[in-house]
Amino acid sequence: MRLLFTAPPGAGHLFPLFPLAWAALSSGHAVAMATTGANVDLAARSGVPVVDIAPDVDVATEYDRLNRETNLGGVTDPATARRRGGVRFAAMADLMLDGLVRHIERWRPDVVLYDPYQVAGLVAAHLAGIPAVLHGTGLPMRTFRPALDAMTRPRQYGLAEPPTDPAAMLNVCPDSVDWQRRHRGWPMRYVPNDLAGPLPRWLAARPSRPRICVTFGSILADLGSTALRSTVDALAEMTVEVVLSKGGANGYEIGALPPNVRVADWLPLSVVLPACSAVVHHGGAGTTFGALASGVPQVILPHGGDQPVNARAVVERGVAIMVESESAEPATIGEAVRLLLGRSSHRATAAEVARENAARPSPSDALARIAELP
Amino acid sequence: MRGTLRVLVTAAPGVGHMFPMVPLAWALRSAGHEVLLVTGGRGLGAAVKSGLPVVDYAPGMSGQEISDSINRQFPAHLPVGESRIRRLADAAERVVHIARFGLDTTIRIAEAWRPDLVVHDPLNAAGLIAAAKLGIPAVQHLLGFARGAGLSTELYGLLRADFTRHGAPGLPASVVLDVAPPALLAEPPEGWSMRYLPHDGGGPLASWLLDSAGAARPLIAVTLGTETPLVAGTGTFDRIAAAAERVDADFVFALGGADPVGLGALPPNVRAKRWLPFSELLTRCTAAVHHGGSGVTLSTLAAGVPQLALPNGADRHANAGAVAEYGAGLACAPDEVTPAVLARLATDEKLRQSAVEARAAIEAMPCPADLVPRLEAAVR
Repeated sequence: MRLLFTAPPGAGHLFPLFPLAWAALSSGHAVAMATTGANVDLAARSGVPVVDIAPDVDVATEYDRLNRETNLGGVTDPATARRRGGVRFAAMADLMLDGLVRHIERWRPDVVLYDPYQVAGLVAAHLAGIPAVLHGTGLPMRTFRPALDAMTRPRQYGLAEPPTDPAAMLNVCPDSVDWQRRHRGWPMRYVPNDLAGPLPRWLAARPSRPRICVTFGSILADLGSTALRSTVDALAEMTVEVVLSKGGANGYEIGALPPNVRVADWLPLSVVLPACSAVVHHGGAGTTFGALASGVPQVILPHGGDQPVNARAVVERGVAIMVESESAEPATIGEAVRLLLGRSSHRATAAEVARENAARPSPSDALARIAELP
Repeated sequence: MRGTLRVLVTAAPGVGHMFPMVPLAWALRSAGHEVLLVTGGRGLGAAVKSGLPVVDYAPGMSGQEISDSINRQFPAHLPVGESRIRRLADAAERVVHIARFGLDTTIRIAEAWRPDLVVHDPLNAAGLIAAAKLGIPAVQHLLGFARGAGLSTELYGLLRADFTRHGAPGLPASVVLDVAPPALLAEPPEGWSMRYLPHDGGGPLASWLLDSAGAARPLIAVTLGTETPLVAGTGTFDRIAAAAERVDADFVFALGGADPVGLGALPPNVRAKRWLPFSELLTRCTAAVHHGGSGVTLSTLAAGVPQLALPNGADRHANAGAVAEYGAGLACAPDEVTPAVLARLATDEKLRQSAVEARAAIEAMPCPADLVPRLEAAVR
């Protein structure tokens, strides 16, 4: 088979696709990753062949502009979030559609796999008459319809109505976490990925004290959140080792750190989490599901976007404690972490969910089903 | 899946040792297992192009410094020379300096990370010692046609002091993965056959490559690997260019580590690139010319096109010999490349047919992803 994967700008849309891409390569299939902007350099670290599908566009500037105009940080109203997201992802999809169509013509894939927000993937596969498969990245969702409806470029190809559904959807959410019982698509094991690359030696060693991972993603500096400082203060007096990732927000000033904290501009959570006893984070899908797959209980301080919904799901499942981020005092965060490390059921439940995830069909199993698509 | 395993994958400090093990590492990772790649020097450059976590066992040492250090300590192992190794065990004394490279650091990393399984290339003794010390199985991942039987026993004999110093009681339980297609071997495969999947780092696809499909003239890819041009210079490229000028085909030179400045003037049907995704290039080519390295030999077989090997040491005669005996390629000395041999490479129908059959033989082998359940079972 020839599989073309495609993702819009943003590492969170790109990283989750690689385990299936690697499974395909290690089964002898041909694979390419079609993306653009900063994702091209990121994807080049994956070992998967990469093609830039908007090479003539200043994607970084455009993305930054859209990001500013449609930022979801702090947005809690679902209708507003969907509308802003629709504008942003439709604009990106319109930029990428021509390049994606052209690449499909010359590379001749048998199937297109797309992130739910990469609506250009569904459109381009439809135009080429090949099956499209949605690759979930967290809680089950369909193709992001507001973006699909707001695209204008498909009209240049004589497409009046956007295509409706893909040939299949890959669902990476363990059923027991899917508390709204959406159960969409084919079940597939969630494999955490962040293209880890070179590690400092200490990260490959098992910790001697309970290790707590603290991360608020890369959005932190923009938001000016006090959550990180409060969390560090909360953990300062505990007999734990704190591993703090600034999520690439290099300029962010945390202030003086207690001696039990290690800080890094960026750390690969796919490597960090399996050795942790708990994680404190913002509720981003990658961190939430990475912790689920690694069996690590969570404290979540959601800031906006899809974070409250992710937090709700894992709280309902009994593997996480939610703390309202704006008002979080160190004492509240510390109490939540102590609860997770102590006699609460969160840890055992987290291990149970990790086993459930590991028992789901593997990416290789999903490939076997994709190969049977008409 | 019966629980997540930790798998440490370790390679000698060379590109050609690390790249061939990446598809198996991907297969293990995509099944949900934790994977850690441990290597150094130019092997590190290859490892970081996998997207998987990597630890450097020789921090602060460049690839060139490592090569120089090994070559200085042990001139007999220059990657270019008279060696005609067919059985790695026969060369144990000559590869022991490579096999020991990064040894102590790798074992410290393994002790701290506590893997359930170690995968190592045959020329990496740290994998053996770490597995024996931790009481876990070792997987010897063969790289080409040189046979591995007996090498670990020879290394154990030569490195007894290192085994003892690290508290390793003997050789670990071992699984062997053999990537040589059985149809091209004179004897049965060693251990489990596993399909070789061409991989040399992936990354951005060059537009001219994507558009070159269906070109009218034969296109021949030429590489001499990473190490050879650094040691032996670009003279062989110049000789191939001179012969190529009189052949009705286009040529692409992938210079690897060589400096293009050292090249003479090139004829119009030859273009030179510093680095190319060679396995991707091969999918557009009619044939390949190379130094006989394991990776490029198997990648050319997997692409189903004929090859001309110019073997110049290490295990390269074993690779070139197996391909020539099967009929899927030709071999000659680097200074014997003529227009006639290049023309034959581009046009000989019997060579082409054998190469197509060799590809089919490779595609019939179990993939790395197929072997994951067997490896899981081997641990328990």
